[in-house]
Amino acid sequence: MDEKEIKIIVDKIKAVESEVSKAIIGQRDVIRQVLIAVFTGGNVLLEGAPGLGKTQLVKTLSKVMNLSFSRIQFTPDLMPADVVGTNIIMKDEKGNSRFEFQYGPIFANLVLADEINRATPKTQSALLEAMQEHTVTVGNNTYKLSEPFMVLATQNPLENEGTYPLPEAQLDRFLFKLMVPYPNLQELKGIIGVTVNSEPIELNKVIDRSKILEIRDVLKKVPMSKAVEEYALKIVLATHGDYEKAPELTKKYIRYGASPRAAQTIISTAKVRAVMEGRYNVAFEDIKYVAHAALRHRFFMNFDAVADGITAEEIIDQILISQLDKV
Amino acid sequence: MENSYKKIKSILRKVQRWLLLKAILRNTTLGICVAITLAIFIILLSRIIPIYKVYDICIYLGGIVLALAIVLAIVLPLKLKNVAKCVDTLGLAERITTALELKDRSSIYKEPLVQDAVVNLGKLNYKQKIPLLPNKKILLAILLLTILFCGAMLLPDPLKDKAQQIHDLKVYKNQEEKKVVKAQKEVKEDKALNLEEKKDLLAKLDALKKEVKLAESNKEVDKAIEKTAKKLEQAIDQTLPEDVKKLSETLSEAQETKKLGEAIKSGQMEDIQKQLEGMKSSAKSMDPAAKKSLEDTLSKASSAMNSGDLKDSIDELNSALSSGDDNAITKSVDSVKGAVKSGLSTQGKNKALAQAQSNLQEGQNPSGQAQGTGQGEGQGTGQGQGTGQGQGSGSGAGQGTGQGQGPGGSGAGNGSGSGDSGVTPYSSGGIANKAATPGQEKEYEKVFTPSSLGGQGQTSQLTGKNNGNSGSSESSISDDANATLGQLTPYNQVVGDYSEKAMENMNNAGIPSGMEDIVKGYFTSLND
Repeated sequence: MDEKEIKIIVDKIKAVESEVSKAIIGQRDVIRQVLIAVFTGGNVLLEGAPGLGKTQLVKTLSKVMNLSFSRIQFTPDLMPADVVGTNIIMKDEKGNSRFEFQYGPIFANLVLADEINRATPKTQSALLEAMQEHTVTVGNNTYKLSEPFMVLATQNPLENEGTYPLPEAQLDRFLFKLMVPYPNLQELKGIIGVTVNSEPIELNKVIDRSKILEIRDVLKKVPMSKAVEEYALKIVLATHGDYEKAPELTKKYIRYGASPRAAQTIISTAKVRAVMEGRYNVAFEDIKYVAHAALRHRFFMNFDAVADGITAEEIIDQILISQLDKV
Repeated sequence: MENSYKKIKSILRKVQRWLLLKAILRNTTLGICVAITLAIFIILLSRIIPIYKVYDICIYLGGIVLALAIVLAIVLPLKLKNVAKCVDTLGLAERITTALELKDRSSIYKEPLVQDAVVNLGKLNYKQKIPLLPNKKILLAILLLTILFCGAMLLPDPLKDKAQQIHDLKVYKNQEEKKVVKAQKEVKEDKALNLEEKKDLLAKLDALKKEVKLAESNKEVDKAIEKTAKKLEQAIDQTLPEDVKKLSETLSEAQETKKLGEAIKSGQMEDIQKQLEGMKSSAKSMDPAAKKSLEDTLSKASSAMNSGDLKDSIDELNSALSSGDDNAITKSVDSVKGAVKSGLSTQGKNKALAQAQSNLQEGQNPSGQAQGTGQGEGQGTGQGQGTGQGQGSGSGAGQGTGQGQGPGGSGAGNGSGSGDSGVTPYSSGGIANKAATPGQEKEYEKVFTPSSLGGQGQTSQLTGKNNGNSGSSESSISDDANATLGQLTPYNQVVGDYSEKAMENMNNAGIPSGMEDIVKGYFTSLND
């Protein structure tokens, strides 16, 4: 692969980003981070108030990337079979009965798990295998999901009544947890302009699934200097209170630190981010860029943190600063 | 690809040189800061503790700190890898570090990455992004420290003279210690001294070294040296060597004993032995005239001698010759041989002692050194001796004033007191005050030293009254007709004994420290 080919990839990614931005006004960082997750091959948890364009973002992505899309609205009465599918009795032409697997909505490239925290833990956990292994097992049969596969789940931070917070094991399976911010005045004007005052925007299919898989392979090989790699690993270690070089906030407020998946996530997503920035190597700034999204749902704070009003963002900021000095 | 790496390295080397220049300037300014801080500290310290040549110390220390700072910057330059890291922080986003790490690895990104690194590195204006001038805060600190330094210099330095004195004392002590060490070395190497004598001498010199070390003034150093020199002088026994000398001179004058005389003069024991053996064998067959002549020579030699073993053995030989007893002659010749040998040995020891003494007193002012300024009044007890008046001693209270000036300078004093006898203003000189003529040893006047009367006799107790003071005296009457009341002994021997006793007693007795100086001064002056 030469410089030109890499340039083509970069241009492709930028084209996707630009096309998505036509339908989603503002939210530049969210779009970019979702694209990083797409090209890394991971699931994303989007948290934000209703009406901020989370569902729209996923729909747009599926259109621009020419991927199959399904949406599952999670409710307390949603059953696992409603997600993964089930065996139903079918009669053939001769009148004989047989079980036939009815594919659930999980069988799509992009799955929007809307308001995931409203479903019961049983249903939530039905997603675990699909999210991690990209397979679905029903009865004795295991079905492979079509690649690229990714779950984009949303949750509403406001209405907590009647919700089931996601278990730690499931949270860890999300590559990123993205906070969808409220748009500013300019962005709001843009949203109104696009959605109310004008015709619906026609989106182009910029990329297809085979190209996405090809790009993923290429992006995995982006080089990273030892110092940058060390920095990424130290950041993850610094989420553990028993790590000697962990900052004070970690020692005081973190109950459980991030798992090794966090390190994998930071390094792999930083590589994608570097290429999106037009570079052929990972820099410290790439690590810093992806660290918040990769870590904020992977460590768990104690009651003191809640009592003192300490947020995960503050802790991550301190970790990023403290570990940079030690590289 | 190789060319691209060469380009990267070439640019990095330029940056490296630039960083070295920056490091030198930074270290220099930091060094100046440290040096000025140190200098201020030392100057302030010198106002509390006497420090000799404080500004010279500041200059030396400052110079060392600066030199260290610059040398460190030069000796520990940034490696190329670290330069790459530094360059990456200037907006190159780890391009250079990653490119260098990829050099020996294969990657599909290697070529585009290296090209990208070269382009971005070429665009980098490192001279602008890495300013040479040190941090403004450091420059400000230098300015403030300089002001403080000038302020500290303006502070009065009341301890300057004291520091000078301490330094001078230290130098003087070092100089004197070297002399002692030299004397010790010579004593160790001296073959004329036996092991016991060497040990004794070395112990004395060791004690002197300790005293010199503990001395708190030049005067004390001088006194310690003088005391030891005197001890050495007292250890010199001139009697026997002089007798040997006189014997050799007398024997050389007579024809028949000329060879023996010359052999004694040469100090060769083998020759002496040979000549004595010859004398022993010839005495048996000697004609009466020759015998008479030999006896006369021996009598003359004996009368020239002072006293002691040699004189006795010569007399013994003379008697043996007169009697003609062969056994007596053999025995007396052996006795003479032994005495001569002993005399020659003592001569060697004397030379060693004299050499050690001369080493110690080398370069010293014979009249002593005085130090100190000021005037003082004091009271004390004293003993005095009068010239031509036989002997006198007594005690009395006196008041005196004295003045002294500089090392080796002059001193003057006067005093008066009341008492039964003998108040001697010792600074004005006494019996021993005879200057040595150049090339000759100092000659001391002889004083009468009483000795106990021989024999037993009646003892009577007398009680008397004088000036209202009562006292008792003890007298004895001897029956021994040959008893002598005493003899004339060189002044220095008498005073030496007194001095030694006084110094020993001073160490044991609880004498006030102020009085110690007075006593020491008294005995020192007696020797002047």
